[in-house]
Amino acid sequence: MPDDVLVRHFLTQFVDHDFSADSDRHQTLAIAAAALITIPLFVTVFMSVKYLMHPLQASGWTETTLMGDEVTFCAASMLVTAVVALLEWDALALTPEDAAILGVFPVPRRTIVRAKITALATFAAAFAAALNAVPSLLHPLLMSAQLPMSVMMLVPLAAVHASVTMGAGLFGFAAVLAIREALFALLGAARFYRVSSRVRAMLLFAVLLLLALVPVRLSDSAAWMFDAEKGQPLLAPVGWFAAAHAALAGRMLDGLPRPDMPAPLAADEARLTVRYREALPRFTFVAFRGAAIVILTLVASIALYVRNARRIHLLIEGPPRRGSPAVRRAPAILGRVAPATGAGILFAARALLRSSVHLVYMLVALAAGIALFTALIGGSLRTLTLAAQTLLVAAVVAGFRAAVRTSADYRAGWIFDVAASGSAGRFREGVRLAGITLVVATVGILYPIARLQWGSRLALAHAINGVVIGWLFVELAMVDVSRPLVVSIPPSDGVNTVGVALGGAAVIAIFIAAHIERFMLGSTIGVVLYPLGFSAIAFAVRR
Amino acid sequence: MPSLLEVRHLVKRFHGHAAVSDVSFTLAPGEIVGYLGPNGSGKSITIKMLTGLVEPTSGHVLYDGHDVTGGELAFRRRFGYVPEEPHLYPFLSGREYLDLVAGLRELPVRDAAQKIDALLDLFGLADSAAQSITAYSKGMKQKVLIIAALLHDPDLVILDEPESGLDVGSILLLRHLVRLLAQRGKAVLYSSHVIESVERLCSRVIVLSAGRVVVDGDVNRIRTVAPSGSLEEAFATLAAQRPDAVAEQIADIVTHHA
Repeated sequence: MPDDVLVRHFLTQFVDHDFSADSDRHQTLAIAAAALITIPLFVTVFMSVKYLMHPLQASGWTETTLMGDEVTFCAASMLVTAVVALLEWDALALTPEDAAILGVFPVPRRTIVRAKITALATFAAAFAAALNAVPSLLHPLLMSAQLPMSVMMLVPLAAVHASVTMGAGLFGFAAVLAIREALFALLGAARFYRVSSRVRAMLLFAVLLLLALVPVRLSDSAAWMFDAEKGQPLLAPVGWFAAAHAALAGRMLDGLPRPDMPAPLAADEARLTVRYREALPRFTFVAFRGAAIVILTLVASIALYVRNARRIHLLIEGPPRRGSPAVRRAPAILGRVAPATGAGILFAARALLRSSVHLVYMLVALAAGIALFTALIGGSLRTLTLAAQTLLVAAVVAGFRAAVRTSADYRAGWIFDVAASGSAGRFREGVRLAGITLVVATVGILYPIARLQWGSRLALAHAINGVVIGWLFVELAMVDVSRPLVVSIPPSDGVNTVGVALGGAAVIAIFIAAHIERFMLGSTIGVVLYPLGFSAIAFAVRR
Repeated sequence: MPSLLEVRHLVKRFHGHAAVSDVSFTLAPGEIVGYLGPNGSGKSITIKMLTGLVEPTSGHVLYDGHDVTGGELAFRRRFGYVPEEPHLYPFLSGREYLDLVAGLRELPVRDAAQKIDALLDLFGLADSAAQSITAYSKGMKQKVLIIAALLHDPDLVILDEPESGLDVGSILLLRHLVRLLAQRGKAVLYSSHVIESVERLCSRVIVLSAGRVVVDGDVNRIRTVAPSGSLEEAFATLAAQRPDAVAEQIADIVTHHA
């Protein structure tokens, strides 16, 4: 049965990709599996508390409140599944490696393609199901705990929640596949493989940023879903699935009897019920339109997939790259620093930008940092606004720390054992300098925003403070890393407890520092003393 | 001639199993020593112990009379090593990898850049120097490894299957290069499965079998082990291999149908 064998082979490929090194694959997979259960569990309980705390819960209020939850669940499912599809970007299609391995066997091409599509569908469906299983069981239960309904009604409510969120997840996966295959069809194999990693990095950053913005931007009651004129194009795909939920689950809830309520509450409930009933025809229309677009996306992605796979490309053809003169001159530009330090700076820059795992760490950190920054940034000189820059820098350095604690390729690390003849310390120094350069670049990008808000003097002082605090963060990040990018340091067993506590403490410390900074920016001596103090701490940590 | 490298009773055990039981030999400047042995005989493990990549269970490695067991820093500056497997950082180009090696070896940037450019050109890699290593053939990766091993002008050159993946022209180039390096005083340890290369290049051969040195001597003397005078047959005899008989058994199994 070559089909079964091939499907199993392709499914294994999705798990055994380069994001989990051989040395710690089981640990990585175990952490991922645990996260797939615990994070949705935590989020669901957190989001459901409002139902349990609401006295005299009634259908109208529930229907409108539920909309905000469903928008969040659908957006999260869609974006997380899209992230997974982007992480599997190279394994989504039949690769030249597949052609080299499978091409020699007497298996028809259509069998290979069919097996790959089956494996893709199985993987996407299994992941979407695993991601949404806990919320689908728990959210309807907690949401309806105080409503006058039978336990049997939970089954259709859970089924609707599962179908809608899984559908959103599958759409996220299919959309990434459609983009990849459309690009392949447009550019051809040679050009596609040349731009593929850059396109993936950009998409990954965009999706991660949207995911990080979900709690910030979508945690309200999704009023825009009830108002035809307030819809935003970017939110349209989420709207299709949330509308489908409102049309199906909302109808079930709408039929429930209302409890006896005081007059003001009853009036409010009547208003919310009318609001839902008026919007119901539009929800139905949006849901059908969404279903049509989803089906179209699925059909298009499969059609493009089959078209692109009509020839499995064994060789990537194309003229050799010459490389930019700047890249060639890079070691000479760094000629003033020790050769091993220069090697450290360049190796770190290349690993962070080109190694898939390291790039993902940086993109996740950057997306989280930008989401925090956009949530906090405001016009006036407030503690929150001042903390925004430090939080973004902290997120970038956290990504840098995760990256330098991961081997760039554990099999290729032998060269450091053979060639680093006493230069390991200087190489580490180079990696450290790369981290500080990253901090300076981040603060430099933020400087114009601060200048627009507060003028040159305050913006410059704030930027200097950001660089100095970032320098301290880099020193702290490198404290226990003696061989950055060469050997992997597995996360400690207490990462879920100590890590969370430390993270919380760090956020509190950042806000306290921002409060002090606000006070210090008021005087010239404060402007000088604040960065000097942090420089002294950074210097002491380095020592 | 005094030996540059001396290996004394190296032993390596993995979970009680001896991969290398007792290996001793010497290597003098200007000498090319062939290091032969069947698969699993302990050749690569011995070489990894020499380079400090694997810690020996017991035994010593002496370089210029000093104990350098475990790969002392001063010793690492003096040897160049081409490993059996061409593991290179896939996100770097050939030139970037060589820049990294030059940096780690702390070669002056300008000199290293000129040397790298010239060597890439002479090894026929100039056009593909900026390409990602993932696009390299096995032979191209091997050339990058050879350049990386020679970049710092080492006194001791350790080559583990250096011809792997190379085309005929490149193999001939490598052989000439190894001879010239030996003439200029470099000590070369040449581990290979290609008997022809060892026969043409090496003045002395060490044959390993089951983790032990079964012979260490002049190529011509070893030939006398086989009645035909062929080094290939002598090697098979010394390594206790019966290729003809085993081949017959394999052919029987392959052509047997129930």
